[in-house]
Amino acid sequence: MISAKLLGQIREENAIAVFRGESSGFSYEWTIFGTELPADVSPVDLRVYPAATEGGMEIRFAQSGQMGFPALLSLHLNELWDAQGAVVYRDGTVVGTAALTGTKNTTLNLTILDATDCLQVRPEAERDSAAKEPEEVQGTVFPDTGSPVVKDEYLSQTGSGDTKVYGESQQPQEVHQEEPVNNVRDEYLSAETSGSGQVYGAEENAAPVWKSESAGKAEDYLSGVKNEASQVYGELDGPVKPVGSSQTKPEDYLSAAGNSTGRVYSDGLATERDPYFTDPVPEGKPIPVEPEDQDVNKGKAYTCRFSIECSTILNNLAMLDSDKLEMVPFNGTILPAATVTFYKGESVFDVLQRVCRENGIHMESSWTPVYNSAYVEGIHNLYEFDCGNLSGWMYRVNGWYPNYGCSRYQLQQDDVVEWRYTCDLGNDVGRGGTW
Amino acid sequence: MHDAFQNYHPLVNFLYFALVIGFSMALNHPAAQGISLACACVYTVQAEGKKAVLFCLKWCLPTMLLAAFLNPAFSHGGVTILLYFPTGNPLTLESILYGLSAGTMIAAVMIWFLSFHRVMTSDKFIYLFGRVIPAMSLVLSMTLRMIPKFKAQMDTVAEAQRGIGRDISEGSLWRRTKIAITILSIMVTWALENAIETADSMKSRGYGLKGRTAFSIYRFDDRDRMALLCLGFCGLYLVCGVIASAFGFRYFPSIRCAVVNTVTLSFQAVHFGLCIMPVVLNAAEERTWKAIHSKM
Repeated sequence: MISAKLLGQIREENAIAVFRGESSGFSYEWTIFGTELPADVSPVDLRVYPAATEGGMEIRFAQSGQMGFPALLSLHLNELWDAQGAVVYRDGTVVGTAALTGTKNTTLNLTILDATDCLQVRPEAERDSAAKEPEEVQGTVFPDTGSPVVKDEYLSQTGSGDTKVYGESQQPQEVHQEEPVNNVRDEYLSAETSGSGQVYGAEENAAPVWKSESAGKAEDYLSGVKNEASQVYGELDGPVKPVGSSQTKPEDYLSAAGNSTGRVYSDGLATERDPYFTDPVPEGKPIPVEPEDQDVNKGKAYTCRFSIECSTILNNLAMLDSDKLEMVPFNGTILPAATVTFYKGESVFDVLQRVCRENGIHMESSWTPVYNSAYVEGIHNLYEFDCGNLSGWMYRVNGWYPNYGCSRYQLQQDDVVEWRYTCDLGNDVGRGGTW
Repeated sequence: MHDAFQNYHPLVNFLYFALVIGFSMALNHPAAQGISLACACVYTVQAEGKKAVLFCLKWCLPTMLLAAFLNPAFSHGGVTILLYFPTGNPLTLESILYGLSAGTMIAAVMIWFLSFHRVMTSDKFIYLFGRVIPAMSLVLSMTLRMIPKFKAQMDTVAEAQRGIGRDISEGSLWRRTKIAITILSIMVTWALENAIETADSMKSRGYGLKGRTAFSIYRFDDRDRMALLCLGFCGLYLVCGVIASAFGFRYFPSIRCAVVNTVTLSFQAVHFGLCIMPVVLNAAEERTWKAIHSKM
C-alpha cells in the first residue's frame, strides 16, 4: 500500500516515484508522476498479480477500482514478444494499448487509471490489416485521443518544479517498501545541450536500395525518377549491367511518377551499399527515395498514423540526464497515435516536421549530406545521448525500422509511422536484426 | 586616475585576478555574470578613463551581441519556441538567453584581462614566479608581452617602410599585399631574434641563479596581509557556494534558477564584494588623499 501521505509528498515535490515489486516470477515497476497526482489522493495498493495465459498476459490488481490518477505500470516478462505492440483488453473489449520495450525480454508499459479486477494483454496481430483502428482504443487505460492535437496534459509535463525519482530496494515477493531511496536527482545544476554527435540511430546506416533485377520496368525507377539510369546499381554476383536507358523511355518514368501507389520494394538481392552507405534493404521493404527526387504534390492528400513515444526512458529513468526529467511525459507518449494528413511525395521527415510544428512540439534536426537525409537530434527537448550513450530517436514504419534516413522514406496511404526513443541502439524498441 | 590597487603586493594582485577571472568563467548565474561585468567595467574605467570606455564599446559590446545572435543559430534546445528557421529548426528563448549569458561571460573576462595586463606587469610576474618556476615565468612573461610589443614594433617597421616608398595604404591590392608580406617577414625575423636576445640577456645577468634578487622589491605589509585575508575568505566562501550550487542556473531545456534566499543572496553579496574590491580601495585612497590634502 502506498499511503496518501507519501503520494502527497510526491505531489508536493513534483517528483517522479518508481516503485518496484515482484510477484510469481515477474518483476514490475510503477512510475508515478507528481504532476499527475490530484490534491486529494487516496492510498493505493500497487500490488499486481501477473500470470501468463494462452497467447498473452493477465494482470490482476490488488487495488480495486479507480486509482485516482494515471500511473505507468512496466511489467517485465520472461520472454520476448515478437510483436510491434500489445493490445490491452478488459473482459474481452479493447481498452488500450501497451508499448513494448526491452532488449532480451519484453517489458509491457501500460498506463493504468482504472485498476478494477484484471486486464489482459496480448501481442498485437499483424498491423497491415485495417482492423486496428484507433477509435476503439479510446478508453481508460491509454488516453489515445485519436486526433493529431496533443492535449494539454501531455505538454503540461514541461511545468516547473523539482523532480525526484524514488527507487526502492528489491523486495522478495509482493512486498512494497515505501521508503524513498536513490535520489536520482535533488539538485539541478548547470545544463549544457548535448550538441552534436550526429550519426547514430536509425539514420546511421543508410542503405542502398537500388536494384537491377527487374531493370527496365518503370516502377524500378520510381525511387530515382529523375536519376540517370546509370545510377542504378547492379548486383554483385551478376555482371554489373548498367540498366540501360535504351530499355526505358523517358515516358516510362513519367507514367511511373504519376502512379500514386508506386512504391518500389526491395527484392533482397542487392548486395552492395548505395552511394549513401545504406546496406541492402531487406526483401519486401521499400527502397529509399532521395529527397531531391521527391515532388511534393499538395493536391493529393493521404493519411497515415503517426505517433511519438519514449517509454524506454521511463524504464531507464536513472540513466536520464536529470535536467531532462521534466520533459518526460508520465505515460511515455509525446504524441498519441493520430491520423495525420500528408501529401503525395512527402517523406517521414516532412511529416514529422509538420506534425511537431502544428502541435507545438519541439524538434531539432540536422541535414546529414553523407546519408542524404535529415537526422533527428531531439524531439520534445529529449535529445540523443540524454538517456545513456546508446540513446536517440528512431522511426518505424509498418513495424520495420528502416536502415536509412527518414528523409528518404516516402510515405504512402495508411502507413503507420512511430517515432520511438531508444536507450540501447534500438534493441530495446524491437529493432531486431543486426547492424 | 591613479590605481591604488596596483601598488599592493603582487601576490595580492595576482590572487585577486585569478579569483575574479576564475569565477567569471565558472559561474553561469546571470546575476553573478552581471556583477562581474559591471565591476570589471567600473574598475577599468576608474583606472584608465575614456580609453577603457572606447574599448568596451568597440570590442566587448559587439562580442556580446555576436554571441547572443550566433548561439540560437546553432543551438535549438529549449521549451519556449519563438519562431522557426527556414531549416525547420526552432528559435528558442532559452538559446537566445544562453547566448547572451555566454557573451556576457566573454566580455567580462576580456575586460578583466585588460586590467590584469595593466596591473600585473612583467616585473611583478617575474618577482612572484621567478624563483619558483624561473623558465616558465620568463616564457609566460615574454608571451604575455608579445602582442603589445609586436604591435608597437610593427608600427615602427611599417613607418620605416613607408619612408622608403613602401606604403601599405597605397597602391593596388597586389602591391599592398606584397608590402604587407614583406613587413610580416621582417616582423617574424625580429620576433625570433628578440626572443633569443631576451633569453641571452637574462642568462648573462644570471637569471634563475641562486641568490639573485628581482628588479622590483616589494614589501608584504599589514595592508597586503589584510587584503590577502579578505581574498582568501571570499575565495573559500565562493568555492563553498559553487559546491552547494548556490549559483546554480540552467538554461536547457527550461530556465531554472537556484532558490533566492538569505544564503544564496549572501554568496551573491560576497561575489559582489570580491569584484568591487579594487574600486573600493581606490575610492578609499582617494578620500584619504583628499582628507590629508585639505588639512594642509
